Amino acid sequence: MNNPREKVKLFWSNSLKKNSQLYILINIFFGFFILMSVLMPGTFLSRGTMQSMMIQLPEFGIYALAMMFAMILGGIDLSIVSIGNLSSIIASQFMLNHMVTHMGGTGNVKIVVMGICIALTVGAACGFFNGFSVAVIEIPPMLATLASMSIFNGISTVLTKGASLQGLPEEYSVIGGKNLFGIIPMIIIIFLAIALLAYFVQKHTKLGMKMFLIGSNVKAAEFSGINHNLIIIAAYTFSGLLSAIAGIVLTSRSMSAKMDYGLIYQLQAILAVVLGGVNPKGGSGNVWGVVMAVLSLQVLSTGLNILNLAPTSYVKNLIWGLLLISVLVINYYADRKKKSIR
Amino acid sequence: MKEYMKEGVRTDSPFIRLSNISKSFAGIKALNGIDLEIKPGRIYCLMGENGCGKSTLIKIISGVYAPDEGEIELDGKIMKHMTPKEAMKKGIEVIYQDFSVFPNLTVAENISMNTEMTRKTKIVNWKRIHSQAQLAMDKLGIALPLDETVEHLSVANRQLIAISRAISHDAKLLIMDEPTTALTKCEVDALFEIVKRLNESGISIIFVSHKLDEVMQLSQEIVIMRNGEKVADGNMTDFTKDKIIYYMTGRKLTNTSYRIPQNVNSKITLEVKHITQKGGFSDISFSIKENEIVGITGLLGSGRTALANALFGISRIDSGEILLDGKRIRLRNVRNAVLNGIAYVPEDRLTEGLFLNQPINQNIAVTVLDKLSNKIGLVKSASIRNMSLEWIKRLHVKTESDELSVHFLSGGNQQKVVLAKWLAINPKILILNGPTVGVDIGAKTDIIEMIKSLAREGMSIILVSDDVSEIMMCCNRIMIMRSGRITEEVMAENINETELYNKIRVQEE
Repeated sequence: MNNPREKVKLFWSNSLKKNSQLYILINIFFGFFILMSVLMPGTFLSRGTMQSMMIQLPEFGIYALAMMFAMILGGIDLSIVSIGNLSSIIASQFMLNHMVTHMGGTGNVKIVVMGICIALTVGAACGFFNGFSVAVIEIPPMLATLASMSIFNGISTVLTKGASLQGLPEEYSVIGGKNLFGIIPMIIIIFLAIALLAYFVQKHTKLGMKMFLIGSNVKAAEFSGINHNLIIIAAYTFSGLLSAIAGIVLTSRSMSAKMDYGLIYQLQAILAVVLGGVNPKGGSGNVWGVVMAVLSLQVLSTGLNILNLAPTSYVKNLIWGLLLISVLVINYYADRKKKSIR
Repeated sequence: MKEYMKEGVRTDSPFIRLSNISKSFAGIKALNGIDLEIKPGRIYCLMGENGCGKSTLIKIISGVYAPDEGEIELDGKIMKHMTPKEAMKKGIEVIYQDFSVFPNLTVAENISMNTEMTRKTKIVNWKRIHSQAQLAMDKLGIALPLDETVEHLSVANRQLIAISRAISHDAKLLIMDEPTTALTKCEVDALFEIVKRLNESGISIIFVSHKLDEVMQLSQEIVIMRNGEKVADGNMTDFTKDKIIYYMTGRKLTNTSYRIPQNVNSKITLEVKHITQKGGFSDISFSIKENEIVGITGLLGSGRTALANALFGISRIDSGEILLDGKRIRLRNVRNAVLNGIAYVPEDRLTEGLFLNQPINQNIAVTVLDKLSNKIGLVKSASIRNMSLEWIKRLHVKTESDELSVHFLSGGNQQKVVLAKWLAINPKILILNGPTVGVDIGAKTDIIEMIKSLAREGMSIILVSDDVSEIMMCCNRIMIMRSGRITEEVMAENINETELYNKIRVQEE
């Protein structure tokens, strides 16, 4: 028993027994990681690759968490990327119109802070709109957010005429460009902080608990006196808010905003959430599961890039789609097995 | 009784013989070592309280479930892995509670479609559909318009269609699951005539019910089940009412009905005046005091559930007023009702009462999350667990842990969880809709005792149910509903079970 290896084994089996899905996900992550390291030891394990992964991961991860809030309710949010783009476009236009043109000085800090606030407000408002359509008008989430995706994209296109907005104030790049201790990007800290916050909201606040209960059985929730409409609106608003943050992260990293940035994240986010153990029917899921799924998919995505197996985003889309179906199929059979044991 | 059975075997070979049948679900034994013989041309009655395993046994006889242990011998042949199709081929027909008729099809189609579909030809022969349907109805001695759409027919007529369909192919054993639930007194009598007629033509019948009077009137043989075991069987003439009740419940029926405790000064808590809901109920007025348990009963569709829903704010009333402690309240939604101290244990706990894949503690704490949280909405999981553990103890919920999902619990324990979540808000008015449906005997007694002790402590309780024995056991006052109105109000001490049963079923003039 004193053998440290035994201890680690014991820890693994005890602390993760409760959460076997998380255990599987950690194994998947290490599996992908080791696979990529073995396939291309020189390139994959290089500092450059690691850093590029850490830079791409946060926006994807935050979008996935945004998606998670909708899917815990048994809903879905097809407009997350559109919200991210719309809010950062409106914020960018504000910053471009008000920034002090001459370089240097601290004049732009205020403008940048205001720009970020505007982005967050727009994101929350878009999310509120989604929540209102789903909860009060009772439009199925799939249709409500499909329509709003189109609306938000449309507004973005009208505002920018489809062009990318560039020349954002230098101060804005602090978020996306800064590294902590020279190696860890700031945005990955932001991502982890948001994950922690999401975990906290879901597991330790009444709001989060009610979200799970509504996702589990909305009628029983109503019959228990839960104000389900308010909670549904809150969840979608949260989703919108997180989407806006993902948009900010993306634009401050690339220092530009455009209506079609990061479209691939829409499907990828659903994939990460489902792979992360959230039941698409609602009522279950764990932030750390989704985070592990995001890490795994990022490793896979970067690996495919380096191997040049998926040269275009179309091929990647194909792979994500296949993966999503596979995960759903595996979940279906795992579920059936569980039921037949009962 | 055992002696009798042995004699029976010698004289008459059974149509179906079950020996030592056991079946478990999720580790819980639904059936335990059942031996049963059904002889041709007899009317059997399968009795037992809710949750005793009646339905499971029927599903085994009809091939829907395969038994874990034991043997089925059908017409002298031992059946291995009997499927519903095989059972049907051998002449076993089941009429379930909902009849499984297609409301959008005509009478003739409903009766003949099954047999027509199994024919090899691809072309539908309408002539044959009509003649077959007519033949089946002739056998029963009934006449319904063949081209009428079934949705326009009454519940009783739909049932006749289900029976016609069952006998349209060569049925040897007809199983009827709770066939009288939604029927009026007259319709029940008519049904019994038909059952007897079928029986005379040589068809065996298993009649599933927990209604004593009906059973004693109709059956020749009786089989009584309790907690998944066969506790008694034999010729009906060997059984008295008291004996049957004793076998069904496992205890002598004592007069345990509820009386308001003496020397308390109970105030009126809830009063409704002329409330009406279109399509639900009309002009309902009554009041209820502290310490009272008022029963609201009536047939399916009499408006009892609509009234309960309205009193909990699930649906709104169109006119009239509701007063709580003398003050007028408006129930726009469930939240209003809960904030006013009204709690509701709904009719269907699985879809309306529980979060099946959530832990027990969340299911109990759901009503008090707001109270358990601090100003910024934080909830300590320890406080949720503590309060739920306390309720688990108080209501004797049988579980290994409060973190288990509720769907692992038995029906009775699930119902206790629903009860616990409402007792946690310490309600003034507790409305219960069929609280012991599908609940095993032990939990049923627990729940009924709990309800009574709550009333003794001062809670006003409204019990909505169509289970006469449940109503008689709990209530001190009973209101009978018919067609959306309260037609009669009686004190429980002035009526017995049979009288109440008949009152509910009186044919409307």
